[in-house]
Amino acid sequence: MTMKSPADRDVLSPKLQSQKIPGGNFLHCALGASWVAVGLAVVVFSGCGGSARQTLTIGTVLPITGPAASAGSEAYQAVQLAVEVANASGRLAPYTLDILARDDVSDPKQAVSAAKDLSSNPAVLGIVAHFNSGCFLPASRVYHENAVTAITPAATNPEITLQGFPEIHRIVTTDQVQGEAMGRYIAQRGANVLAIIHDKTQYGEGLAKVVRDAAAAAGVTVQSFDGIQVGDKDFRSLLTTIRSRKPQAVFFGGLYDEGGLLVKQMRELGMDQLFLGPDGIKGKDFVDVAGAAAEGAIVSFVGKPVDQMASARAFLDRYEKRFGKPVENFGPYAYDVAGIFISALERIVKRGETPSRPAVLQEVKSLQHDGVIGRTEFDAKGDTKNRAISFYVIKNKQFEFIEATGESPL
Amino acid sequence: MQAEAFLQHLLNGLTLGGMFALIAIGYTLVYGIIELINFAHGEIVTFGAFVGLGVLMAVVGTPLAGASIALPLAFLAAMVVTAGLGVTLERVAYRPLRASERLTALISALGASIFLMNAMMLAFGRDSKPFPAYLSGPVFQRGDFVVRELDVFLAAVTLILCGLLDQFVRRTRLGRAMRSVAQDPEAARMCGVSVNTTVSLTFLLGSALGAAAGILNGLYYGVIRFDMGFILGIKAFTAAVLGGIGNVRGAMVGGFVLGLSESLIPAILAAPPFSIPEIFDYKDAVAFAILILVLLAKPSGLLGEEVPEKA
Repeated sequence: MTMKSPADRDVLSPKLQSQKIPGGNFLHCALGASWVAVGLAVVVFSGCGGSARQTLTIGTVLPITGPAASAGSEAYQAVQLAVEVANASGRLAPYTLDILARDDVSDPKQAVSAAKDLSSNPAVLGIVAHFNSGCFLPASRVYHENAVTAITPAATNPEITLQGFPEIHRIVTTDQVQGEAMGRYIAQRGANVLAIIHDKTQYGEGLAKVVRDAAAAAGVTVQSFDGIQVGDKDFRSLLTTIRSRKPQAVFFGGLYDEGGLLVKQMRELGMDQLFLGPDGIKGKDFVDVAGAAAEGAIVSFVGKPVDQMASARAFLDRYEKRFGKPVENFGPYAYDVAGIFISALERIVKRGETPSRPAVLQEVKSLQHDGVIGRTEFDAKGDTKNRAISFYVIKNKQFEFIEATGESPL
Repeated sequence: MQAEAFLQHLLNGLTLGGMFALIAIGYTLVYGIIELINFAHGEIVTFGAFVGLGVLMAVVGTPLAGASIALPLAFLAAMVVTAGLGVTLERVAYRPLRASERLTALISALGASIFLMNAMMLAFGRDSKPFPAYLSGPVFQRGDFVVRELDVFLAAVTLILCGLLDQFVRRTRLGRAMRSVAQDPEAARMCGVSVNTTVSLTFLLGSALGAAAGILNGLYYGVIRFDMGFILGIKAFTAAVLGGIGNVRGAMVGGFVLGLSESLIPAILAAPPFSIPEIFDYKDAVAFAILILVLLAKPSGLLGEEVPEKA
């Protein structure tokens, strides 16, 4: 995929054109004045042409490479799709929408530098920001300082919207909400003794702590709380220790690679406990890594099941047709984030105003967006009012919907 | 700790240690001969795993897919192809720099590591690739203690390869050439030993063993990824230093000591009478603390000898 910035291309294009003027060869080279004349003609020409194809730009900072690459690429492609659809429909006429993409590699340092890069580009009106909470948390200050609206399709750490930055929004509900729902669900499943493992990341450990507290509050005994290293492959030492403590369920706060290896090694060690995980392990990669061991694992996910919502059908089909693979996790959320920006821009354009960062922020704050995941509306903190959590069980390598909890405005 | 749990931890540590040992040999062989830490060795291991995966995927559905044919085929192909990569790496990235300062070659090694990792990301993709399941049945079960076919297979392959290499270095003419170049390349050359051929041979052997470790890793965990060589490489390098870098038997011992301590020490500390909560957060810290303690007591490593700095 191209990472070339469309804004850069526009800046360069007059220069390129002036070098390729066919008439230039016929002019006498000694006559400097005629070169100036050609130069002026080019400026005037490109100025006229420009008004017919003015562009608006939104940025994306997602992990296109690195440990969360498969989820990040899906989110990026969903944004791409949303922009293609909007441009084809002419909703933003006379403008066309462009994407300026940056890769944060799930690395907080690269996330901040990408955030600075995009924020300092005045063409960027809004940003589809980050998959990982660990990236969005430090980058959110950059967006705040540059007054650019940033909406995350996936970062769920509660801290992010507690900083009081008006520009920061998220379309998914928080780990707080998801963890509490998971804790109650574990109690409801009748598991009285729980072992918790987490990956020591802001996301995994934060969520695991909420699950620990919520499960304990619901009467479950949490017998252990252990961290593992992201990128490690051997967890048998920890699992053998957990095995001898005989829990009834194991919860893992983390992402699909480690989650898949954990459940696989559990089954190899003869552990038949219920295995539960959060949205970070929902995806084909978890099943790929764990193989048959994934069967029966329970996964929570933010929002209602997208594939059962009429509003999402068209998007899911279109995505599969465009990219040749089905949607697995955060695609619909990224699509709606892009949709929110597009709706905000559309309203501004329809009023005859020139879109600006403050105008976009104002529109996003007051918007009620009916997208593929249902209605999105932001509360005062910038969190979505849709607080639904769904539970899935893996059967025959598929995530099968069990139930949903929590209120949602639709 | 119950006996069954202890045995399980012991087995976990031995299998982990076996993989570390095979990779550590690659570091120690190269260091012993040209005093270079070959940072790209972890990527060599990953490459071997991908070649092995390629072979196993190619034979799926054919009469060759049985474990008794497919596995030897995968090991053979991966070891040969990866040995070729190792030799090429030496020719391209290290040999031109052999006369220059050591730091220059070290930086070249870091560059080679980054290059290979990213090349593999582009060639094989960023996702974890599942490995076909072989030998996954249990061979022995008593209470909680489970031994799988893979555990036995891994131990057997590790021991056979380590034993063969040890005998090769100690008993053959080529092995003697390697030892002579390690002691003094100038003197070895004067006695008619081809230094370049010997260095190539060293990379060939180290890379072949690394490839075997890569396939074992894939079979054992059922999944490989382009960046798996990074952590494996660091651990195996630690094992090589622990055993005394430059010493082949030291690398084997270091691998097993590191695997066993990673597996057993946190487990012992987590069980009564210590019952330290959340000790597994510090699993790697514990393993590296062992390294520091050993090096404080014996700076040249467990089996390393005090050697004077080469001129």
